[in-house]
Amino acid sequence: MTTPSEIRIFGLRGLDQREMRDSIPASELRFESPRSADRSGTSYEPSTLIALIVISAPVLKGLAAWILKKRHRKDVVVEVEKKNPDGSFERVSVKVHMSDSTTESDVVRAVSDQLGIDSSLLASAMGTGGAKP
Amino acid sequence: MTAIGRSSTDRTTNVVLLSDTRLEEDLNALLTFGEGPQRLISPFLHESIHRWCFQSPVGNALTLLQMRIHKAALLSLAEPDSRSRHVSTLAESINRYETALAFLRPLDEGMSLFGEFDLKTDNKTRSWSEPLELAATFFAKPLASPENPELFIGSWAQGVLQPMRLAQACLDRKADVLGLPLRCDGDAYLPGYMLVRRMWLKGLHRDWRLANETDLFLMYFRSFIYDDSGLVAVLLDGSLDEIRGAQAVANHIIGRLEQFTSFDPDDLARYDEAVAGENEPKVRSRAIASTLSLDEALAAHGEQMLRQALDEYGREEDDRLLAALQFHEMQVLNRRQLQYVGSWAVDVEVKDGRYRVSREGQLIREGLARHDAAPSEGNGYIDVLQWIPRRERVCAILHEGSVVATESLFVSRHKQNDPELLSIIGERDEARERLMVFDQAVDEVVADSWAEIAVKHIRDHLPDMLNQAYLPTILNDTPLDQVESTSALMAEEGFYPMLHYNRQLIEGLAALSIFCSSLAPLENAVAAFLGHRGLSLERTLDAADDLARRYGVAKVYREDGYLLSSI
Repeated sequence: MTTPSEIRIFGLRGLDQREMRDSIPASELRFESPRSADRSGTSYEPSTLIALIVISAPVLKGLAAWILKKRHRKDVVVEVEKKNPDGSFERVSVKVHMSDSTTESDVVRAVSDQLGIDSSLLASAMGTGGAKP
Repeated sequence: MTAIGRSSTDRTTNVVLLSDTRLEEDLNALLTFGEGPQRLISPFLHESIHRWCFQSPVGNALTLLQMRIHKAALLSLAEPDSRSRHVSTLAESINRYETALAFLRPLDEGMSLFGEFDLKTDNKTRSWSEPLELAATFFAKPLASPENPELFIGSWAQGVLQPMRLAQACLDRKADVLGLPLRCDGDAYLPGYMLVRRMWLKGLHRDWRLANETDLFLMYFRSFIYDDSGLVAVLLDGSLDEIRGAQAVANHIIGRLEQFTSFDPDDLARYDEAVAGENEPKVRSRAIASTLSLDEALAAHGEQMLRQALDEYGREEDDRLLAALQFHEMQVLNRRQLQYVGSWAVDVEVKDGRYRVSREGQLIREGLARHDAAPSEGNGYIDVLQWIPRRERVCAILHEGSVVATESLFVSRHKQNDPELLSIIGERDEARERLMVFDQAVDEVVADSWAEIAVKHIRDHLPDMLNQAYLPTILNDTPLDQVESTSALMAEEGFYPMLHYNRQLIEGLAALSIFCSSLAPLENAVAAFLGHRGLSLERTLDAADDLARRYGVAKVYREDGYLLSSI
C-alpha cells in the first residue's frame, strides 16, 4: 500500500474542530475556512471547515478518538481527500460502523484500511510494533 | 485538489453563488425540472431567501443608496470644487446604509436559517413564498405541470424538505448554528435565528395557524420589514445629518419588530389573500401594503422617493461620467431579476454560428450562438440561473466575460438567445469589477476627508447599538439582570459552553427542534427519532430544562404530549 502523506477532511463544524484539537497533535493539524467572495455587504451561509492533517501513528489514534465521539450515531461517514506520495489527490468516503463494544483499535484499523495506510504505520498506531525510524 | 467556497448572495447585484456545485454531476440535474441534488436544497433555500429579501422595495432602496454612495465618491474625485458637498452626501449616505445593513443582517440570516430548518406550508393558507416555489421547481419531481405549480407545492414540502431536514447533514448544520457566537455584529447567525424564532413564537400568540404555516409567517415577517415603504423613506431621506440619519434607520427597524409582535390576525388573513390573488403587480403590492400596519404618510413618501429615484434612469445624461454611471447602475438594477445558481469555468468555442462548451477535452454542451457572436475560442463560463419574473430556467454561456448564448428551459416554447435576456445578462463580470473599483473609490475618499470621523463614529458604535437593541428580545425569557452575563457566556460559542460541549445534548436539542418543525411535535415520535440516532429525549429535555431554569434560554414547552422548542 502507498500511505498518503496528508489528508484533508471536509464538511467539519465548530464542534468537530474543538474535538479534533482535543484528540490530534496540534503540530499535525491545521484548519482552513472556505474562501469567501470579495465584496462587503455579501451574505454568506454558515460555512464548514476543512482539516489538513499530516498522517502519522499518533494522528491515526487521534482521528479514531475523534470518530469515537460520534459513536452514538452507529455509522459515521467522513469525507476525505488524500494526497498520495506521487502528489495526486483522491476523494474517499471513509465509513465506520460502531457499536458499544467498538474500540479505538477497531476504528484505527477501519480508517487505515480505507485510506490505504501501510501495515507498519498501522501496527505502530495500534501499539503492536512497526517500522524502525 | 478540491477547493470549496462559501455560498453567498451579493446584496447589490443579487448574484447568488452556491458552494459545492459540481459541473459533471449538477449541470444537467439543475437544468432538468425537479432533479436538483438534495445536498443543494439547504444552501439553495438559504440564498434564495436572501435574494427574495433584497428583491423588494427596501432592497431596491439599499441598492440605490449604495449607488448614491458610489456616485458621491466618484464626483468628489472628479469635481474638486464641489468636493465638500459630495463628501457630506457620502458621509450621511454611508452611515444610513451601513446602519441598515447591520440592523437587517441578523434578520436576513435568521430568516434564511428559519427557511432551511423550519419552512413548511399546508392547505390552511392560500399563498406560498417565492423561495418555496423556486426550490420546488429545482428539486421536486413534478406532480403537476411546470406551468401550474399550485397542485404540488404542498406535497413538495412534505416530499422533499422533510427527508432533507431529517438527514444527518441538516441536523449537523443546526447543531453547528447552536454553537455560533451570540453577537449581533458580524455574521449574526445564531442571534438572527433566535430572533426570528422568537418572532415566530410571538406570532403564534397572535394566530395559532402559524404553528404549521411557517412559510406564511416568514412571508409576512419579510414583508413587514422589506416591503416597508416607510423604511424606504428613512433610507433615502438625506435631510438628516450623518449621525441622526443612522439613528433614524435603527429606530425605524426596531420599531417595526415591536409592531410585528402585535399584528392583527385579520391583517394576516388579508395578507394571505393578497399574496395569493391574481391581481396585477401594482394592485397586489397595494393590497399587501395595506396589511402591514404602515405609517401611511411615511410609506407614501417612501414610494414616491423610490419612484423618483428609478425615474431618473430614464433621463438622458449629458455629462460623460454621469452617463457612464447611469449605464452601469441600470445594468446592476436589471440584473437583480436573475438568480445565479451554478457557475463553472469551461472552454468555450464559437464557430459557424454555434457554441461548444467543453472541459478537459470532454464536450459538455453545444447549441446555437447569438447571431452576432464573433468566432472565438478560449476560457469561459457556463452558468445556470433563474430569470425570476419570467419563471425561466436559463443556461448561459459566457466567453471572456460576455454572453455568447442563452437557452431558456421549461417555457412553453424552447427559446434560444432571447434578446432581452442577452441584454440583461450582458457583461457579467464587468459590472462586478466596476462595483469593486467603486468600493475602493469610496474607501479612498472617506480616508481622505472628514467623512472618516463620521463614518468611524457609527462603525464603532454599531456593535453596542445592535446588541442593546436585539439581545433583550432574543433573551426574552432571561431575567433582565442576567441578560448581560448570559449573553457574555454565549458570546463566543453560543449554547456549547452551557452544555459543556456534550455532543449528544447539542445534537439532541438540534434534532428535537428540527423534528418538531418538519414532521410532528409529538413527544413519542420525537423520542423515537432521537433514539434512532442514539440520542435520549429524556436527557435532552433535562438539559433544556436546566438551561431554561439557569439562564432563561432553550426552553422546550410541553403540553399533552406535544413539544415546542424555543430554539
